[in-house]
Amino acid sequence: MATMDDRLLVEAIRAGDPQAPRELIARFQGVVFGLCFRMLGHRHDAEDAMQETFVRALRGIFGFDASRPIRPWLLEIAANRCRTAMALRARRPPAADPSRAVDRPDDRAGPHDPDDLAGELELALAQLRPDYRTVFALFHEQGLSYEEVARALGRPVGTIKTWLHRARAEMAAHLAARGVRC
Amino acid sequence: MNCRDFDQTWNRLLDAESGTRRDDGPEAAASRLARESGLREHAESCPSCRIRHRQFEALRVAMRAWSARPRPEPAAAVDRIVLAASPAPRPRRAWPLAWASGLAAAAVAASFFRPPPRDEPAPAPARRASLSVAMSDAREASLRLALTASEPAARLGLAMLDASIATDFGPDDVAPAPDDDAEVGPDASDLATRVGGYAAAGARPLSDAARRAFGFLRTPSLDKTAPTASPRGT
Repeated sequence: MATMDDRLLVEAIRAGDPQAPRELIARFQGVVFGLCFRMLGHRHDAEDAMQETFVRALRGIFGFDASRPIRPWLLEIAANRCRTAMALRARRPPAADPSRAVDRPDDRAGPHDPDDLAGELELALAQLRPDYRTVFALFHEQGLSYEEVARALGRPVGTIKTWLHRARAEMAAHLAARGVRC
Repeated sequence: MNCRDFDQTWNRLLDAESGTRRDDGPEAAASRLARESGLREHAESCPSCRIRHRQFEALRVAMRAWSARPRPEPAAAVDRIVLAASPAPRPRRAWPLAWASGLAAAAVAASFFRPPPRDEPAPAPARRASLSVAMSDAREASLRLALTASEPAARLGLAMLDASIATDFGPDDVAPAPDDDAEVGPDASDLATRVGGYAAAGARPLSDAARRAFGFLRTPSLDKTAPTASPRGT
């Protein structure tokens, strides 16, 4: 099962192999969760969205075109689930429960560790508008290609390139404003 | 190199910074060095690009540190997801509704049997016959009503009615009865109240607790004491 390619994995799921769904989840939960976490900014919400993504994918596996790569398809479902979650979140009143706070780094000005470059980049990432942040995370964190990001987010490749370049420029300016130098 | 080429070259360099795309082979390294040399030359001659050059260099170093950190990982969820994706069991919601319908029908039918108060004189034979006819009609109506909900519920309602009839009025009273002066049975409204109460409480007639709760219907006379078992425990 470990060496099975994605197409055979889809066929195994369709054939009712009980281990195949587990393999699908184990193989793609990292990238799906990464997308959900970056889009929603909240761990529990991201885990819920990830679960919904796999449930929908497994139930809709017979409608999937197995000649196409499965990762962008999964990410497309995940992005849709996240948009739905964000729409629901926007409609509900602000929660007093502190656990509902978005998991973002503390970006208040103040003393910081100039050697914590990863933390500084995380801060800069959190400052981006959601579209830019998602594209940056999918491209650099999850290693997706421009084409895969474009399909997952339902945008043209040119738009994805533009967003990524703008994201980098804004992050570079943010790091400079924070006094980060190499 | 102009300023536009400068930005594009930097973006091509940064494209290769994510872990999976990073190529440290000799050809890639040589190409990278050549590009960086061109960038430096342009930055030295262009004040605005010189600032951007320093910013992009800082961004690249930060991206490398960021890529080396542990990624956010989900909690172990494979079992939970597989369970959630498995076909849902057939809904069983209709059963309690059917049982409740049957019990309600029985309760309604039992309400027809309200006898006169005990301090009133015993019913005359003609009144007794009318009561028997009404009981018979109610029995059939109850059966038809309960059958629309479910057959098991109908059977239960019928059994409850038969038990109450046999206990309280005697089996012969169901059909048009001969004249007799048999005493009218216990208060049927009490029976209706109890049956309706258990139906409202959601008792499941096949459960042990429900059998205990409805056991009084099988006793020779209506038990006035409250059952000890709670229907909620089913």
